Amino acid sequence: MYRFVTTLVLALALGFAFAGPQDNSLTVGTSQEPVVLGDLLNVLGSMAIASEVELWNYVGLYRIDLDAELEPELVTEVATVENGRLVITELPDGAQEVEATLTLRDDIVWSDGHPITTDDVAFVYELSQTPGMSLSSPDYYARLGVEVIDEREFVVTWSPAQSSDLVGSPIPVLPAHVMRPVWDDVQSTVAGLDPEVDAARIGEIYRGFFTDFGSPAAINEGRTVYNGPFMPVRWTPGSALRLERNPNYHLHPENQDAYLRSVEYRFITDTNALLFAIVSGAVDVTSSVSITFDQALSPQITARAVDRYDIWFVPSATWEHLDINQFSHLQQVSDLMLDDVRTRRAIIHGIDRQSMSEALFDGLQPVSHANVSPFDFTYNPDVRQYAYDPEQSVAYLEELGWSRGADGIMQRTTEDGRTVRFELEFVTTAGNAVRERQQQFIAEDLRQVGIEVRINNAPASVVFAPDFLSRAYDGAWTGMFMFAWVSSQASVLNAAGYLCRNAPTPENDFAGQNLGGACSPEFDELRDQAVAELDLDLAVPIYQEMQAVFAEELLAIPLIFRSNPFVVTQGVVNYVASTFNQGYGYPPAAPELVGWVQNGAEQVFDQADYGELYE
Amino acid sequence: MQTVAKPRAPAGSETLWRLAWRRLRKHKLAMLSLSVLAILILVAIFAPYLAPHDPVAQPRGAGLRAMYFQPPSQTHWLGTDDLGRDVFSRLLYGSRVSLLVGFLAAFSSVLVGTIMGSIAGFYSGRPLRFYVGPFARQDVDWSFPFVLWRVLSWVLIYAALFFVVQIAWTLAERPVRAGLAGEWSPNALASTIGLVAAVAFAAFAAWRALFSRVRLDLDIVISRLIDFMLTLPGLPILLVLSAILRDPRSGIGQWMYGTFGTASSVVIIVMILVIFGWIPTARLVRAAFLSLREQEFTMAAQALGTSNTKIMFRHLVPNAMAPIIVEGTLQVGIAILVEAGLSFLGFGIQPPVSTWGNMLTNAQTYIFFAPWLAIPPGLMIVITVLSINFLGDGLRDALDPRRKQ
Amino acid sequence: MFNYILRRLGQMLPLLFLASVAIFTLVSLQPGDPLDELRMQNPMMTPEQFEALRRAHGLDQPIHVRYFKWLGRAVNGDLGRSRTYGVPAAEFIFEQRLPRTLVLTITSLTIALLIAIPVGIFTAVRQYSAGDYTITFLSFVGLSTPNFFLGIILLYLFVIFIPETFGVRALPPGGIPDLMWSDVQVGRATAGEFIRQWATHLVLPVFTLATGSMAAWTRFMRASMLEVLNQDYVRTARSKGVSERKVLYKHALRNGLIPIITLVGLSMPALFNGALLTETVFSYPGMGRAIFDSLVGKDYNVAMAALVFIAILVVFFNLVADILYAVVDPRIRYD
Repeated sequence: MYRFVTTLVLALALGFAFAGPQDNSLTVGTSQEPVVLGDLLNVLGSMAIASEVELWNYVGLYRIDLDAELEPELVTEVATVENGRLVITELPDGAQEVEATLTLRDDIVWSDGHPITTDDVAFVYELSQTPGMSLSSPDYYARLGVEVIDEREFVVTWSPAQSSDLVGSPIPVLPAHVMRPVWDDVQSTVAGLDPEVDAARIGEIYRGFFTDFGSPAAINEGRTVYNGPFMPVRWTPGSALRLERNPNYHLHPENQDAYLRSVEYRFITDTNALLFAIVSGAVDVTSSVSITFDQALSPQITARAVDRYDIWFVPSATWEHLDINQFSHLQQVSDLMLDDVRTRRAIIHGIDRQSMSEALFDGLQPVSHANVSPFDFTYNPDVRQYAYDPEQSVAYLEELGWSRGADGIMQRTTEDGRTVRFELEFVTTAGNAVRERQQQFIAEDLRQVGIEVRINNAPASVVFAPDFLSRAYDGAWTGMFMFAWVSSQASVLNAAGYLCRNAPTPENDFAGQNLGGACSPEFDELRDQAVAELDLDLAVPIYQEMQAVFAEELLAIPLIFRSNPFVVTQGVVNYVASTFNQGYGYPPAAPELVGWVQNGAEQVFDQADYGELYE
Repeated sequence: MQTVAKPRAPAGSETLWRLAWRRLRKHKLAMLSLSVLAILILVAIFAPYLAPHDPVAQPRGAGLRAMYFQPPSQTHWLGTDDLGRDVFSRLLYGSRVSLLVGFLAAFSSVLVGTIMGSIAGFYSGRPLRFYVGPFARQDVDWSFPFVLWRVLSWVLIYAALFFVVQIAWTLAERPVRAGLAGEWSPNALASTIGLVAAVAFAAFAAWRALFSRVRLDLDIVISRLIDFMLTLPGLPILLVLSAILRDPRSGIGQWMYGTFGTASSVVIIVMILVIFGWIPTARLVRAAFLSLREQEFTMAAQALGTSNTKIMFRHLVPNAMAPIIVEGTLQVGIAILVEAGLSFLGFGIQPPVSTWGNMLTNAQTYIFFAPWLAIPPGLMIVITVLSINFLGDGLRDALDPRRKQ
Repeated sequence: MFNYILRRLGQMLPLLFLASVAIFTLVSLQPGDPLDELRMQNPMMTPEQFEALRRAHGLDQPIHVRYFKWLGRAVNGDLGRSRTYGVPAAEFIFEQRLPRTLVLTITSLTIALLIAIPVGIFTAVRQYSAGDYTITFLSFVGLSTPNFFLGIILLYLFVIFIPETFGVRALPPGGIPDLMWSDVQVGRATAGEFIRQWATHLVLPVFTLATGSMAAWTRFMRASMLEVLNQDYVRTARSKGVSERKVLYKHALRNGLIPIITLVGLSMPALFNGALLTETVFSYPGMGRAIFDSLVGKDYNVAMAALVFIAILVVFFNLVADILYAVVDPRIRYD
């Protein structure tokens, strides 16, 4: 009986599973829903899932491939110094200016057949330079210049340039022939408003401009056109988004019909429900924003994997770490001597990060030793590593004058005669189960070396508020703060965190990412050299040296690099993600090449090169 | 419709309670519930002696993965959780906070509700002197608190009027300036009219405030406050309040932490539960007072010159005690449920302190592969609240003299 | 009566004004800023650029100015756009979320009433019978179970346990189907398919939501019927030899239903409120989640549109309940 039942369940599940190859469609399960599509300037905020979905229907000037290399997409070739398209000039103040001359291909058209021209580039540039437009990266667009030469050729200028400018697509492209008439209306409306008084109103109108082309209603009415291999045709908010092949896309393979005809994103916000959708075969693959790590390792998923789907763990550049408050003017900090590197070494030696990675993540989220992902091209494998060593940890503490009290917690007498216990505040985001689990693991480890951890969590909206996060100087948090930096290669190259001058203090009006006020002048000096070095081959050793300094001085305590779990039904090919694919590691590498083996799709990329298979 | 309770001399009240107790004892379900609750409370008090394991201790060593998510076994009666901690022990410790929150919140709600309801009921239709302008002819009342309040109320009312003008100016400034500069537009006209109206209103009000006297019916104030509170959707507002109170950067958040330390999380939850929790009791007490105050013993006390406060809390409240107790009991259940709901949404009491609510939330993450984690805390909530509701029902019957067994 | 209604309507306005002020203040007082995340993601932004961004979101102005600006537009019928979604707040609330929530809440209200009224009458008529005790016990259990716990258990049972053990088709684990009534109209799907899909998606949340009110109303109906059945006029009717059936339906039921009508009237606003916990468990994109997300995300326009709308409903239905009360019960007069 039992066997019969299992067979039945399997048959049902397989019935679902084969729906994909039958009509050459792919169902992607995700736990987040984009709010709009096509907000390529991130005026409404940036959302991982929106960027991921947009990979199917928008392409840029360049494409960032699985190995984080640039490839031409809409342009004829990538601008480099070698091919003469990239010109670097020295500015009088010592900074550098970079000019890239780019030529659009002549076979590219929007989904309605209208050619893609430099006018589309100029249009986006015009939008980005509009005062009152709430761009999420105004700093970048402030340095950017675009000059159209003719219908195909244009020049992009960065002034002053940063090395991070050269690792991505310079500017997105939007259909000017569709959007400009509406934009003109918007501008005439805005012209009647007072930019001082009505700034909020103007911001709202500008955001509305993007919504009116990218909201579910707009997409269902087909208000705009796309240049990617697919185009969204139907969006039921809270349920699903369906994309169909864009026949006018220029890079479709010869035998188009062997590859996907349609893609459907299923939005299932509860990850448990999503887990079940995977098990039941209702979704074919998962997006980068889907089930949690714990769930991907759960027996419900793994036990049913054989012959049905593969579970991949793709390393991401999301770096979990502990920022430590090192503002020594604070009583709590100076009592615990957190600004002394030996204290930080005592803490890191007291945490069994390897066991944590194995126990909680089956070793699939590797321990990190510095702030840069092993998959980044600037990664330095030879930095100082701190193994789990409680004795060493205690030795450091004793060297600093601590000794165990009756309750097993370290205590010491300060110069002014007070007795202080080693009681360390530990803050992280409440409600993030995976993170809270790590937090409790760490707390237990530290208790054993005599450090008592006092957990003080609050929801993300509270702890990520600048008047909390950036106010370590005022003692908003006094001990450790656990969170993650998500980095693209560009942000790694910025390396703006952990600079002395980026510590949020009253002098800089509490701006800056160096939240705990860590400071190593050597690190700062190296960074300034590295950023100014536009020849990346020469810059790499400097970046590597920075990581060595980081680990030596323990500017923050590195914990792990996260991995993203992906479930991919067997038979699906080229649905591949990597650490830096398309900038942030979202799948797929080449949307036009995703397909089912059953229908003749050919495998070009192998996920095994970029991730680990669960077995 | 009917009278709520017959007035009784305080000396006779002891027999009333004894009578109620005798009636309650006949109510089998209520007695069963009472014993269940008693056991739960004892368990909560003696949790450290009863728990087989340390509720926060995590296993260490090799093979950690196998020690997580263990199904129930002989060593771990209810299995282990996501960090290998003993669920049974956590459940016992969790009952401490959950019950504490439940009882504390119910007690505070009933206390606040009784005070508000008493005031509303007692002073209904008897407006109190609320505002006396600086130049108003007035009865001689030089009692210190009232003089203080008089001065304070002047400050408040003139500050409010100033604020009105200020808001009007902030809103109208730009168009009016533009208008004065000669750029007339409908907007400028409307702004000017609005500004003039606001200033005229403020001036008139300021003039009137010099001489007028206002008496205020506290019943109307409290009843309107209740009406107002009921227009707000409860749960979302509670969530927002919880975030505000817990904000370590705000003054109130710092004060909470400074005053209550690690217990502040419990105090915050209790405060939040009281914000809407006092309303049912207040309505109930108000209704009871409206009839009680018309009765002879109240009149007699007033004739003897007993102070209002004394009449309210010495004579009237004891007579309205029966429904208050029933309401209080039910509030315990409601508080436990709401706390669990808040925890479920991530706004309740934070780990490592375990409560049934946050254990359930944590378990929900793993429901599909470790369902045994969700059942115990969920069942504990159901059992506790069920017992409380049965007890409340039994008490209602026992304390209500109209009900005959 | 007319004067009474007028007076009540007059009282509504200041109440609503205060409610909107309170809601706006609470939303603003929340820690955090919707732009924090942006600032975190982009460390290269200069303070001036960040300030410009705050201005574009209207966050640079003091709260009372923002409130009155909102009020000025709202009374002209312009509720602004959602900051998160970009779409007009009114469209988001009234076209997207409200219909879905109503489908969920009205279904469960109807089911709860259809069960609670007859069951309540039954238990009152058969007071102290075994059936009465069982139902009373069950309704107490219903009242004491947190509905999100019930939801989690139901999910586990009907999505994992039962399908795996007995090999039956699992119910969908949440969300809503990708099938709208417009699809049926254009012939993309049959009405049967539409109903089947929505029914399978709705059954668990509706049941979860209905349990609590069902339990409460059964208890209430029982108490109300018992009270009526013990009244003199019912006894008189009985002693005059009127048949038991007639006594029950002609005399008792009419009066016994009055409190229920009030109760249902007062719970009407909750229908529009959505059911935050149930919606969360079942990933149902309704009003409850919309309000929650807008509060947490400081999406002022959406939060204000939704909450003020609900405040209006509360006040309105309070009035309706009072008027209905007077219509049903001739003993009550307002003036």
